[in-house]
This record gives sequence, C-alpha cells and structure tokens, in this order.
Amino acid sequence: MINYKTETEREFTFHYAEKLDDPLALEILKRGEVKDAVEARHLSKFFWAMVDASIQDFNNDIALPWDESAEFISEKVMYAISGYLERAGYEDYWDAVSDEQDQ
Amino acid sequence: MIIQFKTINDLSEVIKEYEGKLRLRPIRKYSHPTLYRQRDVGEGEVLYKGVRDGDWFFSENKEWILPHDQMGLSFSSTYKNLKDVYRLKGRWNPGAQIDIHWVLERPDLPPGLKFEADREKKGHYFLTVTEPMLLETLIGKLKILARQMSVIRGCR
Repeated sequence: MINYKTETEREFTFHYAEKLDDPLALEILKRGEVKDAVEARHLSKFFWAMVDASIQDFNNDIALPWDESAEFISEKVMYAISGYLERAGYEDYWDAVSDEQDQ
Repeated sequence: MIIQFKTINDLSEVIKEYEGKLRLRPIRKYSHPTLYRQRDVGEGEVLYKGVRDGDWFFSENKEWILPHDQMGLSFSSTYKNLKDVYRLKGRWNPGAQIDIHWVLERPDLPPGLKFEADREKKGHYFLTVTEPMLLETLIGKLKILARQMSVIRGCR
C-alpha cells in the first residue's frame, strides 16, 4: 500500500490526478497499489507530471488549499510513492522513469 | 588531493563507498543547511526562527519540539534517494545552484538529536529529537550540526 504520512499528501496527490485528468492514476491511488509493471511505470510518470503541474500552478499564482508548499508536499509524496514501489518490487521502474526526467 | 565534482553523477561512486554512513541534504546556494529563511519555503508555510512547522512535532504552544521518530529534518543516506531529492529541487528552482551538505553518521551528534530511518522509504532519514526540547535549544543544536557539516558546491 502507498502509505502517506499526512492527509495533506493524499489530498494533494488525488487533486492532481483529477486535475491532470488521469483516470488510471486515480484508480491506482484509490486502490493504493499497482497491479503490474505497466501501472508501476504509469504511477512513476504521474508523479513527475504532478510535480510539473504544481510548478505550473505556482508560477500562475494558483492558490492551493494547503498550508505547506507544493514543493514540500511533493517531496513527501515522493517518499511515499517511491518507497511503496520499492517495497512492491518495482524500484527499477521508478528509477528508469525518474532518470528519463533528466533527458 | 582536491577533486572537483561537476555533476551529481560524479558523486555517485563516492557516495556509494560510504553509503549508509552519510547523511546528505541538497540545499539551494546561500541557504542554511539546517535552518530556513522565509524565502526558502512556500508562502503559507510557518517558520519559527528558521524551524519549519511541518518538519517537526511541535507542542500546542509551539514552544517545544516533541520526540517523534518519523518527524524531523530530511536527509538522504543513499545516492539514489539523494538524486531524486536533487532532481525535485532542481525542477522547483530552475537555474539555481544546488549545493550538497553532508555529515557522516557520528556518535557525537549534539545530545538529544538522532537520525531515524524513514520506515516507508529506504535511504531517507529524519533528524529527530529524542527528548522534549525548547525551540531555542533545538535551534542551537541545529547550528552546531550545521558547523559539523561539509559542503560540495556547484553540482548540476
């Protein structure tokens, strides 16, 4: 299971799955786990898309309903999602997708 | 011998050699390694003399920091985790120089401070307090720890 440390992390993640209109990400988040490697890769890609979307919101002065900054929440969500994928045996998929972000 | 590291990838072998013993924090240039300025955090985030509310387990009156083994200042202990945090900071701070501040896990940490592994994430540690501590006391200890830390500047 994806274990968030705070309710804010969960809300933030669901907020961006809806905003990005990503039904598969939303389904995975609701289930709290991935079924296979395809979903592991999708969840990893969703995380970085969520980061980009929250940066875009910040740059456009779009207010978010949480006290903590999107950067801080994103870091905590990253630990929750990447930690879960490691435990579930999908660490390589997280690493590959994350490395692709540098290209 | 002085080795100049140009990119975070150049650090991978060094970090892997000491993996498990290092505690690393990527920090934007000119920022403090263990305390924040308001410009380092988001608009709505609350700082008490440089200590972020969201990091620590504060007492109701915000004068004390209470022990919690999963709350504190974030550190990486593996290259893999460092790289993810570094990547995230780079994305949020395009063009900014990110320095890597580090300390070896050491027995002479300021008393009352302890590194605790994140139960959910390999390679992520919290610097925690082991006893109730006045905010001012924690700040003093964080300043001592900052002086014990080394820095690798200018990685990209």
